[in-house]
Amino acid sequence: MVEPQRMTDKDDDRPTRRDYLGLCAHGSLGMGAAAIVWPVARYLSPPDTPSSPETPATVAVCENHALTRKQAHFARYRNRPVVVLRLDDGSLRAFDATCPHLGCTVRLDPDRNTLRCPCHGAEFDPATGAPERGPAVHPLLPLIVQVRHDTIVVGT
Amino acid sequence: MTPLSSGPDPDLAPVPRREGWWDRRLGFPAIRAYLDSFSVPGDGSWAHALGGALVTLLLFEAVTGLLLLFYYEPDSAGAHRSVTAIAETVRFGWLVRSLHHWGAHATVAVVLLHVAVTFLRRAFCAPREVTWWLGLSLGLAITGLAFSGTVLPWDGPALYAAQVGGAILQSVPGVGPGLADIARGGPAIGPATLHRAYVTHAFVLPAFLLLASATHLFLVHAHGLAPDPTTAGRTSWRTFLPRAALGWLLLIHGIVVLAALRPPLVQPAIDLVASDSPPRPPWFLMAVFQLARRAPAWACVATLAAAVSVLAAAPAWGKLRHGKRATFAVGLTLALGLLVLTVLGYGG
Repeated sequence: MVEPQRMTDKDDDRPTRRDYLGLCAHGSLGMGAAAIVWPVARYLSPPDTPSSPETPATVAVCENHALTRKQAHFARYRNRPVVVLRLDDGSLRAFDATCPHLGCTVRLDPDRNTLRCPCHGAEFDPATGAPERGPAVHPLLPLIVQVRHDTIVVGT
Repeated sequence: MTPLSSGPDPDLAPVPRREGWWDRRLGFPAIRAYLDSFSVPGDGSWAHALGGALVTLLLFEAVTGLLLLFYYEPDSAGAHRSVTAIAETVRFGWLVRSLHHWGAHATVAVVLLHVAVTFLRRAFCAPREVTWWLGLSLGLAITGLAFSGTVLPWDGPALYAAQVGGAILQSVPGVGPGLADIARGGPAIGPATLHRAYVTHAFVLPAFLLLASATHLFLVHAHGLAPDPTTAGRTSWRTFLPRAALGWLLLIHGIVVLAALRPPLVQPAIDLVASDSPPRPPWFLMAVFQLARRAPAWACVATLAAAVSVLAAAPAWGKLRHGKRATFAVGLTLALGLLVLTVLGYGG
């Protein structure tokens, strides 16, 4: 006579009561952790500061005649470094001077006629900001530059 | 050190001594008897003393760091001024700063050695996986300490470290920009960046180091040091500890000599518009620097993440059929990669 098969936990693929309670316990632990981690992460990430009227939309860099050809001036615009330079043909260019590769500030190399990042050697075309040599793949961000009352102004 | 399996060696059994005043109050005999149950595998190689060397170095860095805190002002106006004052006018300030500086270099060097030795001895195998993972996280925390420490003088190198560190974080897919904002304290580098580097360097990472290294040490004791595959012999702590302690003392001695002869220079203050100090990372980041000169940011992040992941997954792939050969191959690849990139970094 064959002994009737006993039902054990392992014979059944359905979750047992123990599995279910374990899942509930782990789930509530996870949610508890998330309830702490989420506000802490939000707390640590700095709030967006709305651009108040005190934040100027433009920045005066220098007098127009002070910037000669193949020369660059640096300024800070909206909390970022800005490079303003005069090309060979006398026209002005302005770029966000933050290197798109790893964030250093680019310099003008007048002898080689490039904007060069001192950190990892990326080079950019001073006329367009396009990457020419080195590890950078993205161009420098161009900014609006104009002359107002004989002063070079970056921004609109 | 692990409990002796065959009981204490009769030659090394403690000589009975008269109980002194302190012994009766602080229980030294019981501590001695407890310690006599410990030994290290093999002939007590120096390789087993590296963890202890790190404990010594971290205590050394904690003491010199606390001394620096008495003068350091953690804000953008005072940081550079106070570091200059420590280096130039505070009595022995130059020495304390130099000790902390060279101690940090030594700590990173010993971390690399410790990781290399434990990896090649395959100490990450069961049941020591958690010890291994904690050790890796401690190594990363120490790199983080070295990195955040670079920012604190708020000079030219600090700006480069903050710019490059921020950009590397930013290029992590998904969470990168959020992490970079948290690290910088905003979308751009500014006074908040310095403050966050200070809090991280002086409180967050030391607290983590304290908790994680205590757990790491507890687990080392609970499981014992990984057995030496070449010999079944063991060395009593009475033989090992004095030798190891001499090594630790010599290490500190070397740091003191180096610190006295080569105090770090005070660099010009930070200039957020256009700083002109030459961007050269410390030797332990030279490989990453060289990588960054040849590859876009995401490739640097991917390479670093891959290297750490391969090490972290060692307990899983290490127990496969060719685990031993794989350990050797992975160790050789990582070491050669690090060496070649570092040499290229100094050459180029």
